Amino acid sequence: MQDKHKEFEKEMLPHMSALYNFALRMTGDPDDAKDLVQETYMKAYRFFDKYSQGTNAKAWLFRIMKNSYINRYRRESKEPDKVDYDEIKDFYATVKGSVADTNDLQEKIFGNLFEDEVAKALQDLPEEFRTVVILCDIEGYTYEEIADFIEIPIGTVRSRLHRGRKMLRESLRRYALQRGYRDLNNEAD
Amino acid sequence: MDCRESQELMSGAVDNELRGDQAAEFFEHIEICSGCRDEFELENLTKTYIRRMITMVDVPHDLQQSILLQIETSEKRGLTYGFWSSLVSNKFFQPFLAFGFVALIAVALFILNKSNTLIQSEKSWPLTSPQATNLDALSAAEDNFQHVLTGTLRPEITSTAISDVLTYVKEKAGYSINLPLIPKVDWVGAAITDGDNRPIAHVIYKMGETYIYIFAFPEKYLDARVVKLPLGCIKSISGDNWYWTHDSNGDLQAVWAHDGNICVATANIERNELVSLLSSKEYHR
Repeated sequence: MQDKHKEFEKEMLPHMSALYNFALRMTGDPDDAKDLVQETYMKAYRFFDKYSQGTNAKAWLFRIMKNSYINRYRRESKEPDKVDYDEIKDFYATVKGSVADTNDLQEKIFGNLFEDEVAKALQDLPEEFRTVVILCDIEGYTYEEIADFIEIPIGTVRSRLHRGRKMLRESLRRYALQRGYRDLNNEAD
Repeated sequence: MDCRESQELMSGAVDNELRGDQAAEFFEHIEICSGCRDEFELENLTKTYIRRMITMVDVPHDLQQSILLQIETSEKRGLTYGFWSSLVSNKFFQPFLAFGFVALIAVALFILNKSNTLIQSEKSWPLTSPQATNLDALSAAEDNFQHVLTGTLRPEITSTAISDVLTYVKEKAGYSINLPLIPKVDWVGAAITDGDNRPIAHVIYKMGETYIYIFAFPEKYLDARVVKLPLGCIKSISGDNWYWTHDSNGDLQAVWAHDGNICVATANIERNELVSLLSSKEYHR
């Protein structure tokens, strides 16, 4: 039993940060994230003999967590009915020449949003898009790793990222406008 | 490359995940197409913005401690837990071992069952009556389970006694199935659908918010192509193992073969709970 303990700690505990951050962005709540990580590790321990040493421990843990997440937070996730992707693109086309710096450009488009507003926008993404955006843009995994974690083809990772980011930037833009930032398009002239 | 193709590759270009030739074609395209170029830049901008705004946070300092502690306590909790979990996690664990357990309790309950009530429901079930051929058991079970959860499908009979359900199935479907005797059910119910003279039994257990729905049919339906299952599933269950999967709603599905019948259970609980409920002492028919 002692050996199992040691082996488990060595193989599994180093991935806690990746799992916790993923859980946090998926649930949007630190306590829920802790619960989810805890549940994942308990299951991993219970089924540790099913895990073949030397294979990808992180992917194995992610898969356990994904199932736990789905079981707990099963909810209808739908793409927004109608999103005007072109509004922001047109806006971008008009402002991009006026600033050189990326940060300024981001600020022009998304305003001065706070971190929690960005987190909220991320959280409102339908689950399948949120998952890939978190894994790619926040945690920095490659497409191959993501495909392995959530068991989808690489082509699907790619298309979900594209659509996910589209939806996300649209909702960030809406947040920015809602917060009272005037359409900077007008200010530009 | 046209705009449609460039859209498909766009995130790959942003993330530096394109093959050399794909990348070359993509960047060639956005040289000449300002629409795609703007979109590429915007996607890039969105990605860097998210990365800048949402940073990785530190794991709460007590989390690791509390996980290790919980593992320790669960281990100390004693033999019963360890026994069950080792049984469950043993890959050679055969579902039929779970049945044939504790006949005495079954007999005792059989006597108690006499006092239970049998409710005959007027609701009709055959909303999802099986097609005559090649009904996909897993997705049929998934659909039916959703109807069960929303209450649009109700069993033809419900009772607090599993013996009533077994009798009902035997009389109406013409074959017997073995069912786990799950303690503390609110009710257990059954319905029989008859696709082309090949009846299929549906059994539902309700325990509070937990539902287990079992779709049961004789093995020979597979050969006769009345019902189909994925190949991997058939392999698994013919070796007397459980087969596990999640349906598209995230509900857990378990398939096993026993005594000439195949059962597909769908439930809104997790695997360890489902295993321990399905492994409840069997009721001897």
